[in-house]
Amino acid sequence: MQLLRICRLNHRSHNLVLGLLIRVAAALTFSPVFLAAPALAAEFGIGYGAVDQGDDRLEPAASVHAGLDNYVVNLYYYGREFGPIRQDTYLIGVAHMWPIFGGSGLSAHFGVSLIDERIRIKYIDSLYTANNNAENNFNVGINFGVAWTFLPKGIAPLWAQVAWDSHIYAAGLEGGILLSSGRKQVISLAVGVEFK
Amino acid sequence: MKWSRAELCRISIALYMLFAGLFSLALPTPSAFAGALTLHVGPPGIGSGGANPLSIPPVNILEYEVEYITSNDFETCLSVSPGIFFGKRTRILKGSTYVGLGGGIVIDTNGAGPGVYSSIGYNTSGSFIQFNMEVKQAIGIDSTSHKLISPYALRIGATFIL
Repeated sequence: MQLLRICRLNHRSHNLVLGLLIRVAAALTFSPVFLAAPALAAEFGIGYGAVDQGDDRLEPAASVHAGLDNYVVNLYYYGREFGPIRQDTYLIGVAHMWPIFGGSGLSAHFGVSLIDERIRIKYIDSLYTANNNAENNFNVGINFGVAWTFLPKGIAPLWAQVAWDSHIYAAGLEGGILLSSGRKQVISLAVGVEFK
Repeated sequence: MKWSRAELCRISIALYMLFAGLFSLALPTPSAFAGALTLHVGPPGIGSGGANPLSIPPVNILEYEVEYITSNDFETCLSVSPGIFFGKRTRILKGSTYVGLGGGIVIDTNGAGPGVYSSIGYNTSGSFIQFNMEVKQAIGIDSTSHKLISPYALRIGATFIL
């Protein structure tokens, strides 16, 4: 019974995330900015990522990529569940992009990163509900990395990209002065469409 | 044939030297200046959590990195972690900021092996000494376990124009 209730809860949170992603996708795809500015290049894609949280272990993640001219937005979501504990992490990188090495399809990007890490402890059994807890850890850092757009131009508007990102956050004010930091590294593959 | 960890390390170093040598042969003769040398200090993230605070005084060899940059923007980076690399810089934002990309030997607490790196850094203006700040990420395959290793480092330092 408890398991069923937990499953129902998770279904609900997954549906919320999915709904959010669909809304973001729809907003970006049908944004009048894209339609009214044909001189700008834009791309949109969704994909899969692998996140390393500093211990050389990779976790699967969902990714959404949107680009407009020389600016890119990468959204990553990953989470895990262990008994009554659930962790959801949202990473957003907003960065400026520069092509590197001529027309190789390689680009570098640098910008701001936002992270929201949500940890919830939720017991269903009334015996333990006093231990229920929820916390949100939010941080702002830097985002940098390289990406490779590898599909040949002939098959446009299809678009695909492999990206290798680091999101680095200062470990508090004092830690930041002494260059102490934490990092989320994401290797991702996104496929989608581009508009030119 | 099963190679020992020491043998694999020696092979990796030999391959690195070979590639670095071949790339060096391809470089045109520097004309304006001989290059630049950057001395960095900053704690790396070595695969065991985030980067620890800088030691006071900074006597930990792990925290140091030396980079030699040719006039053609090829760079050789030497540090215990993220490792030993050879790569090429691309200048962005009117030349004060650069992006580095290349390959070499990646080293962290979980192993060492061949891999690639990317970096982004900033140099202030100055004819002899420039303040430098750089963040570097690397990813490689541990020669023994064949698992991914991915150290990083956020470092500050000084660039000496030679």
